[in-house]
Amino acid sequence: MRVVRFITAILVVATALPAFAESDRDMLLEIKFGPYHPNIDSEFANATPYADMMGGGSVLMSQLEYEYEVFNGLGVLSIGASIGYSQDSGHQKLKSTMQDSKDSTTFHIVPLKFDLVYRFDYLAYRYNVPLVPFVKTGFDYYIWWITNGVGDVPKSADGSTGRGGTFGGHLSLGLAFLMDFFSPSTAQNFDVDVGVNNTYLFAEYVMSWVNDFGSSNSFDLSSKTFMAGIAFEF
Amino acid sequence: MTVESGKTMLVGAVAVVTAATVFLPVCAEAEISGFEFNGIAPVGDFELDDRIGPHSVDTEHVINVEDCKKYSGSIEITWSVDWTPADGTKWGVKMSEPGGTCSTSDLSDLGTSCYQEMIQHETDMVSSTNNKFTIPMDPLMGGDCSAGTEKSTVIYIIINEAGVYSDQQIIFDVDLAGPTAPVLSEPSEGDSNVTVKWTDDANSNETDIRYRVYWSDSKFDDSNKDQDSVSRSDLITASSYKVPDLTNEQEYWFGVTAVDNADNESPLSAVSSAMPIEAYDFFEYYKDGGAGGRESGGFCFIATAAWGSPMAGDVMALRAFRDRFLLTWWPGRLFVKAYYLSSPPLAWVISKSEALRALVRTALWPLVQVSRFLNAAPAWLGAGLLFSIWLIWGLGVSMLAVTVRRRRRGA
Repeated sequence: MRVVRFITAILVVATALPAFAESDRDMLLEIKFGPYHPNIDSEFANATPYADMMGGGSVLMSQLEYEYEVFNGLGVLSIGASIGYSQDSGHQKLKSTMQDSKDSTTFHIVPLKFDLVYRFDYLAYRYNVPLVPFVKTGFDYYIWWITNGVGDVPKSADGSTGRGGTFGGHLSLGLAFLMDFFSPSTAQNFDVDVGVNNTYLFAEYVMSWVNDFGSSNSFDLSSKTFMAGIAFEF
Repeated sequence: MTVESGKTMLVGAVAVVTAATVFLPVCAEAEISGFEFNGIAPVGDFELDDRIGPHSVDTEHVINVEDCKKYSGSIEITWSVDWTPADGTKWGVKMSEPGGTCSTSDLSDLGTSCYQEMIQHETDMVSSTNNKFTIPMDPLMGGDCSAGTEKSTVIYIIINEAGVYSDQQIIFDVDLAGPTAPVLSEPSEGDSNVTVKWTDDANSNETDIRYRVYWSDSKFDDSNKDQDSVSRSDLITASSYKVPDLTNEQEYWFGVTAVDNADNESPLSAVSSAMPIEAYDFFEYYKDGGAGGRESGGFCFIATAAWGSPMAGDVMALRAFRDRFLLTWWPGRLFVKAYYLSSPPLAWVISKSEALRALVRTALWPLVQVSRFLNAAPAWLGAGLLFSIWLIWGLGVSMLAVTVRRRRRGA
């Protein structure tokens, strides 16, 4: 009951917010962070080389996304691209005993994503409801490389090199909170001064399938994870 | 006291204060205007290190223990001013004792902590340029290279122009206090490398302290660490260093020294040994450590998709061709860049269809054969043939364009 009252109060306050003339908006920049754990060990039935060396936990993934809004009507349709970085480190294994070496080895990943994005901000603009659900889908290309204890990219016994790229795709579902709701005057000044129309805090659930579209000869860098961050629409 | 006499005293006091204000800067020893330091040259059979600041642009002059042992005889300093000296202008040079000072208000008084001989006795200043004087190194450096002190010796160039003295100081930082040896921790063995760590509380008051790591496959100490058989790192500021490119299963010895901002090097720390051990990095462990991972790395998209593996012989031939002939000149690099940008989606489509893969393999067959031939040919022949192919291709395209244009005009 309290929740309903709270939401009602927000809607009442929100719908009473004064409107002002905004500058044109056609781009959006997102900075977001979240946990990441590649699914490399799924390639094996009875081995877990990634977990053995890097551990079973997640590491921080940081991403920067740029979107260009191509349609602005009942919501916003955008095309976007993002770049990120994450790395996971662990101890090397002694060849003689398979015990942990004092040397470290690191797996570096630079995910490149190309998105089609839809943001349903009609309610935010029409009724000042500060919540904007969105969905993203697109292609991924993850560039990765591995470094050994002295920072070199290693080669395996068959001569293959520890760096490459893996294709995939993704689907994200998210919800953004329009920060302008808290202080419309500040938001207006932000627009007038630097041209930022809206500022969002957002969270998204990202499902990535990155394994060269099911190739059995590729790393499986897929993951299902949450990311959260801040977005500026300008 | 009458009002009149009071006014007279007030006026007098004002006059005294005014005179003091006006004349004080003149009486005080100012820096020599337009002074230019022109450099230091050795006098004697030794060379000067850059540390002493021998060039005209140098502003710092440092002498360390090694220099102290090497420098003998004297140095000659040349200076000039950017104005023409008037008749009767005199100049002279004094030198302080290390850590001492000299008076700059005359050209004869040496005081108590000034070197007890004039470096340059009072002499007429006849030229604005090429003024020189010679300094004996021994008193400049204090006479004892093992003194373990850090003091400044100041050279005072003093000019007397119509009773007005001005001076310029050149300061030599004589640092004969080397740092203390760091304390080496137990080295940490890696695969073909060993990480050496140390602590250095004893030198915590030093600024800009740096370190040098020494290593060898035989035991060494401070007396023989400069032998060719002992390797050394560059100077580093961190408190650890990973020694690369070592042979696994072989014992190595390690030591470290501290180096201060005057490049004085401490004695060698205690040496300690370690043996690098062969280990799997993640890629080796994934591929060769028993798991048998199939990822082979690489970015050669279309050919990899067509042949199914980046390690296929034909793919490797194309890759070698890329590295040898395409990446070595800018049109080739441009082509490779464009290929990398455009080919991934195509590669994906190809990889999904066995018929497409066979078709692409057939289409690429001539290119593979040409690549194999050019890869095996001498570089000049390969480059020449490649240039000829580009030339023929370019001429063909140009002729085709001209033909099409003529036909259109004709139509």
